[in-house]
Amino acid sequence: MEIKGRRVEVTGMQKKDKTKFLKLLGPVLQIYSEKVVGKGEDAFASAVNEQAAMIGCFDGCGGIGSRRYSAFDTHTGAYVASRVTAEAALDWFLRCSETGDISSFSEYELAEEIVTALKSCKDMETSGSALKGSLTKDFPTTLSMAVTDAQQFLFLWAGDSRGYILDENGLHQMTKDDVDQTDAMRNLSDDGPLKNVVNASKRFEIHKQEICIRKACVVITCTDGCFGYLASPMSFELLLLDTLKAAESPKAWEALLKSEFAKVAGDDFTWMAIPIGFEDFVQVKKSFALRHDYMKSMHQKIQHREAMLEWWESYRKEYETF
Amino acid sequence: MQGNYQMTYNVDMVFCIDATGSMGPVISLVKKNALNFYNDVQTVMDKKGKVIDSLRIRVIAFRDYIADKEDAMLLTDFFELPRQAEDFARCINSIRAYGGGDDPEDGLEALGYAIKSKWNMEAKKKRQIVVVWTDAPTHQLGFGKSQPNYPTKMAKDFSELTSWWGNSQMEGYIDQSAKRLILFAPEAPYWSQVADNWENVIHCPSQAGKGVAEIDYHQIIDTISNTI
Repeated sequence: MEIKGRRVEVTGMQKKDKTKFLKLLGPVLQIYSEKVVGKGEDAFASAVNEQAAMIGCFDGCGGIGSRRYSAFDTHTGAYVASRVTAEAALDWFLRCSETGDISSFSEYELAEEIVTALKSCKDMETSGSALKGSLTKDFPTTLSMAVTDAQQFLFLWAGDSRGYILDENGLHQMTKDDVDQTDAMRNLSDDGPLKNVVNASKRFEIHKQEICIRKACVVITCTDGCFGYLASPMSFELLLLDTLKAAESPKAWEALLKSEFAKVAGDDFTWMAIPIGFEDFVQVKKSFALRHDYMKSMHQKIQHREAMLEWWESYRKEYETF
Repeated sequence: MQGNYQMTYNVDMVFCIDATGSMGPVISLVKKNALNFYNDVQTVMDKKGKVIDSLRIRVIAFRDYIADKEDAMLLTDFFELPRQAEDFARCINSIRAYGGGDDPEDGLEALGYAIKSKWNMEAKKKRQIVVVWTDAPTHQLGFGKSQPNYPTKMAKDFSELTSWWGNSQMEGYIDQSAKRLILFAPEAPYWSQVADNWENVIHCPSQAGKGVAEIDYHQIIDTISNTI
């Protein structure tokens, strides 16, 4: 149970032999950080094959999943759930991608795969907990996954981990947080309880959003530790673009972003991304240079919170486009 | 980057303690738990690198309006901790177990008072936590309304009290996002309904927390701490 995530990728293939899809795909980028070393409740998974790619971030719910399980070295349900769900999601992707067409990937089969895995964890625990009530769940975790064949994008989620598309028009949130209201700005301070999370004991739903994008973009999934401690959704976009501008390579972008997230995050954080449709990293940087300059100048104009809220009202039109 | 959140965490807790005669064998344990509860939450928060900026605790000692008349409901304002820690400890230690009359007590009225507390609404991130310790079932609301000191503005029935707690469709008197209810109470009518139907509840079915396994107690503290 030490494993935090797994990456499965096609290896050893020469560029000339790559499928059209693989030629469009950039490297899978990944950031993982624990607030308390060894106690992190986030997990991740990624896989790339000739037909499709998948990235996923999973955030074990430390509050409702704080029960400790002797069958898992007294780790919390949250710790176990994110890892087991990441593994189940990876198996689901590898099985589904044999068919080739991501539009047939079923969120119901994904939920079934996860429930089977989590229930087997539940069955391993022989000592019971006396605690009841709506704030307790067995093995709860959020889920945010993005699957793509470079033209179609499938976003799957439960809870408040998010999926995004970053393109020349800015950042677009592709998922809707499972909380009472869905204003991304208000959710930064509201911190409401999650209405729907993956778990082993109660009914849950995996939401699905499918879109077609025929232009270069970066597809992103992340846990709330990445965006939940910033002043606004615009700050999150600027953070992505600032670090991209300063980075000389994909690895450098990962390192810079990780360092920036760590400055503000009050939680574990996990971020995964794949640039799609770019020749190389230089082209990724070039493609977002104008957008960076715009976001930077807008941020510099913002002097107080009211101005930020006003900007949010116009920014969100594009942010919520999908 | 400028202007990112420096989160302020404000935590309000209301402790509802059954102070009737049947609590005699466990009242010392409950008082100890009440005194330790916020320290335990704070310790777990510290380990996670989260600092509580404001911590306030209010105490409600409840009995039975018909059997105990003026002693039925003893309410304090919020104590600001650590500044008023000694006053808080003195208050908790002054609670004595007596009275109560029949088996059920007026725990729902205590819960009503708790829900209508003057919560701190200012913080960016806040928690409003009600903890109930009782060994008894509860009367229906209004059982003691023949008494002159029975509160005139109390919820008239369980349905109204449920609306005071609120839900995702209709906010009550406590912040929908911030509220948490920890119930150390037997499985009995009303307490079980609260546990089964109200949002954000942890129910530890027991006599006022007596015999709670250590692992369950830690789970409760972790649940509170990890959602702040």
